[in-house]
Amino acid sequence: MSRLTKKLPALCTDLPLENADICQKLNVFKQLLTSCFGPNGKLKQVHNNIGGHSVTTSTSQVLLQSVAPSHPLLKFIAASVLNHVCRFSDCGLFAAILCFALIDQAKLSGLRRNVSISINRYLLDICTAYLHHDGCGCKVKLDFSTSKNLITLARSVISSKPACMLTEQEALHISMLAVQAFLLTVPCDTPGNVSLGSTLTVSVEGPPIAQSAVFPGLMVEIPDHFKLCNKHNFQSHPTKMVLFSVSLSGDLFEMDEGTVEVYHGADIESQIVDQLLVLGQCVVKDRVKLFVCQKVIHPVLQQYLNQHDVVVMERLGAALVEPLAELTGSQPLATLVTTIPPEAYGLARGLNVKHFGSKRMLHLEAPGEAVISTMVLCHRNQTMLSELKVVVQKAEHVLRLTLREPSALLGGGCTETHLAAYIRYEGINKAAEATSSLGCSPTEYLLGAEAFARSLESVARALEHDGGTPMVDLTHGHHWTVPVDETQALETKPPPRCGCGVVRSSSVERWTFLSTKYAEFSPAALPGDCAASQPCVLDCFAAKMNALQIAVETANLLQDIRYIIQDGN
Amino acid sequence: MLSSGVLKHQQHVGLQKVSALAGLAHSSLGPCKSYKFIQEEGSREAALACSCVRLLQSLELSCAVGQLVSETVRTHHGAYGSGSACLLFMSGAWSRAALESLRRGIPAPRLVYAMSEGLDICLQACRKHSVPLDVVNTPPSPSLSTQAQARRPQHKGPGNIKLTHSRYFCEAPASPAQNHRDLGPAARALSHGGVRSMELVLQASLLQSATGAAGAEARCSALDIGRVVTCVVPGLSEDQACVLAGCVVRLPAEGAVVAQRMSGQPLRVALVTGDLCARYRHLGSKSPTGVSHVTDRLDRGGSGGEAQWTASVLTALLRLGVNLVLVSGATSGALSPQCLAHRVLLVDRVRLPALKAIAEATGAVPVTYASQLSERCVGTGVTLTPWRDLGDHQAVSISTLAGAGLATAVLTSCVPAKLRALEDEFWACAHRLHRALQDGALLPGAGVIEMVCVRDLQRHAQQHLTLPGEAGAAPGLYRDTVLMLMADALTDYVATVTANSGQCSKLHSWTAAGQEVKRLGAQGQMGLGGVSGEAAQGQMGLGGVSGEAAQGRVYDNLSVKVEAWRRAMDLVLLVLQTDAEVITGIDPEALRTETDLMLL
Repeated sequence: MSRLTKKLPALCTDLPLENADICQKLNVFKQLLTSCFGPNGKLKQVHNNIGGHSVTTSTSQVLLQSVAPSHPLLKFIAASVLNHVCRFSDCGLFAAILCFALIDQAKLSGLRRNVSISINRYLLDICTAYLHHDGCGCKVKLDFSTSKNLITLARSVISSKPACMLTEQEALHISMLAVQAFLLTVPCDTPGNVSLGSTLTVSVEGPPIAQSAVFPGLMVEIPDHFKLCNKHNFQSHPTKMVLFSVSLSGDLFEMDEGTVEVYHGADIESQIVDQLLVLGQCVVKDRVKLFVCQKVIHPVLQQYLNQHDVVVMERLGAALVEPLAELTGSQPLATLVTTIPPEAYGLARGLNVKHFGSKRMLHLEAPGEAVISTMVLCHRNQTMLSELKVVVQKAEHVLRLTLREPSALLGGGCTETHLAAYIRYEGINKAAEATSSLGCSPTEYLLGAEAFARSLESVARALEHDGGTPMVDLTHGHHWTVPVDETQALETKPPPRCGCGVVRSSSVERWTFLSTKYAEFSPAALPGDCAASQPCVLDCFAAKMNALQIAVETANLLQDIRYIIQDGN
Repeated sequence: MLSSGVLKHQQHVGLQKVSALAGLAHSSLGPCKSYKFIQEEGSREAALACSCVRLLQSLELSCAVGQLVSETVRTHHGAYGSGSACLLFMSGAWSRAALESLRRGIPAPRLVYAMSEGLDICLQACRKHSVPLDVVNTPPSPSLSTQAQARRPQHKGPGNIKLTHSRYFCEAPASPAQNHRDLGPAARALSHGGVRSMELVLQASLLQSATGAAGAEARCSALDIGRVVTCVVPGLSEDQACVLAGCVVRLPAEGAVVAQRMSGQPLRVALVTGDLCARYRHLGSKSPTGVSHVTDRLDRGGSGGEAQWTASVLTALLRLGVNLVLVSGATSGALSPQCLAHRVLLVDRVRLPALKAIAEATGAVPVTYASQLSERCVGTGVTLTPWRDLGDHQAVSISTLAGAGLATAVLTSCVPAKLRALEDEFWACAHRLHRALQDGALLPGAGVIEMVCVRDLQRHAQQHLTLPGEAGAAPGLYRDTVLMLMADALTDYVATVTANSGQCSKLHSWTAAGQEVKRLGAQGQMGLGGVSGEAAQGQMGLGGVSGEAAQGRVYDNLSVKVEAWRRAMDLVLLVLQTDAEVITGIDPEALRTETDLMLL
């Protein structure tokens, strides 16, 4: 009989956001994420308690996946941000920082919870409507006839993560590769429904970044002892191939439990090897020239196939099976068979070996138009390489999202400050209308609007980590950062360009510090001749819109939590 | 329930950690290295270590920075085989430079920018002052000749008088092969204190070019480290170390008798990768579980799987007429004596490169299982040559009739504990020479290139940039401070190497290095070409740095140094930009005491 233990009572926390302990945890979590934000963000080293592999990162995705907080409130925030990142890749930190800022500002404003929640929701609608509006002053239409803005968009994502350690030139090179890979996924001339291709990322440690490149087809790493016997008759015309996803190592079938009784003297292993050789004979008879297996192939079968001039590739890995099947039109065989159905065979073209540092890769191309391409990323060390891989995949996703909504938002904190200025201006204008529909007093509404605007501004402020002074101009509402000046001059002078690079300081007359009060103004849209001032930082429109919503909704929900009940058993 | 904790880094503790860890490298720098004892607390076992790679391997660094450091050193060592001490030292020195910059209030982004710029200046200096390998390999002669050759491309303009009659101005040897044949000067210049080891490497290279019939690769590089193996023999004095053609293995007494009989005859060979025993299965294969054997007879004739397997292997070997089986892993205990009885010699633990070279030279196909052996897997034309009787063992050299270009360095020492360090030193030398042949160029060593970098950094720091209006460039003062601090870090390197050579105190070395930089600066006004030429002649004021002043010339590997610096800088910049550590999988109950750690 098992011992009886006394059941622990459930732990109930009243008004969690006012609990000092929880607030401290929230604060640490906030600082952890806020300090990662932007191109000058601070990196975090993540490792486990027993000295496992350590990761250096500043991406919300990697950080939140590995941190996995245990407190329910933090868990909730982490889950909403991760869910957003999962769907949109970009703006995860933006969502988290805005969410924290909204909670902080609501507390500071002293508004009742339900009032603050409804005002936030109302202002979110105003923001969404404004951002979708054609006259929106912080939006740029993407023009697909030129790659300029696409490259800027990709570069903004790539250079926002300092752990990649790229120079400006290298960042540009990688951004162009991301755009190139994206363009390769768009089919050339398919009328009707278009399905996009996919890009695989392979990382190689060691060679310089400049060696990174995009190839149509697949690149598969091959071991040292790999033999290419009949290479010459492979390169030009399509070659028959077969793909196995089942292990051909000669293992017995998977036995979960129970035993198999074998009559003594019977040799199971040799019988399985015989079976494998029958398979080999079938493949050779069918003139297969490339034999690929996701898992291990028994050495005897490998030897047999090699002797018959079949190129053998084992241990392809699960991730590559589906792309290879798609590329070659073959059907992965998931059971050990002795006769292969003819429709399972596929065709591959161009069996070239390419060298990246000490690694050798086999380049497999599709017989027809390429739907799959591979990006080979090279970098000097593993830490930087793994971050680069995450960031490049993010950039590709962001580029893909532009097909859904061909616009981008100005980056560098300008969209946030611009929106804040807009909220303050619209707040006054719509005060009467809002108070009647929300059922709050004008004072409450103005307090709420100010809190919302300040929350947005604090996201822009989070871009600076090294003592620079954030400012805003009173014409366009763009974000400017005055760096710490080594000459210690008393007069703060804004830099020549704003955060996103569109507005020049010569075209602006007045600035103010970001946290100070300023007279409301309608932030002016950009001058029509945008060509003269290309934005140098752009953010993904779809990702930022969703992040904005996620942040407001998460913050609202957190404010709405009255009790946390934890089962201690 | 496990949770995660956040550890804020106060006062850039990460950089301080790197600096502390880099202290390991101090005594591993330069030609005079000191041995270190590593003792394990539990078993009281001790090992001698000389290189910082081995030191880091034996230190179990659990903190994140420690891991990053050892990971960086390990990957660098894996790729280049030398230069790890330089990497570690410079990451420490540059960490201190970064700490000092931060203390002076330089913001991190500016610092990152300025340090990257500083590294670029250093790398540019390396490219500019690298010396072609041909120049190094020409026998030492008055500096005129070397300089003339180094500058030869500039003299090729029209209307130049060719001084063909002077022996100092003669044309360089025409064929590159001839150039490469004499690697002596370059090898000596790269020995960095490991004179004996480098001598062995040279012998290996000579042996390879004499016997290397296999592959054009081997011939053009004159040293194919893929075809060099080492064999350590304890008990012999160190001066008996030598290089032999083929693959040298140590055979136990029983095997030696058979080997003795086989010596000189052409043998048939089979190659097995993995273990040669009944229970061995290839990688990725799971041995079946849950299989029970049933029988209707009581007497099974004692024929277990093992005995049956042994008999089948022996039959296969005899049927194919195999005399020699080379196995990369272990061999079954029962098989070996039975084979010997039939005059088949089994050699286990043969290094894979050796196996590969023998496969290429003999046409043998390596197999995983003995059951795979067939006529076409068997290679021919292998001979055994007994080398020495070592008491309980016999050292035998396995070579092929068709030259495989395979060479074995037999490393000996009366002190068994030293063997590993000797092996490390041999490989470091081999990698240095191999790299030099690949790069085709060398850097002036003995601290010269570092001092050139110091001079260039100082010069850049003093020359005030006229900045364009756009933001982004690291402006004046900050940049100058950082560059000067980086220069100090390099001076520290030179001073440490000098002090390690035991000729003067570190303080004195600092002064000497400073004076040398000044002298270089003055000389640089007249023309930079002189630096590398003079360095090549070892006429620099710090000739003593090397402890090899008598031999004159010391060089460093170009790509190794460049890569080590780059990796060191990457490490410093990564750590510099890190402000917190997240530790996952913490048991909240167990860590109540840790005050800095904030649980999430």
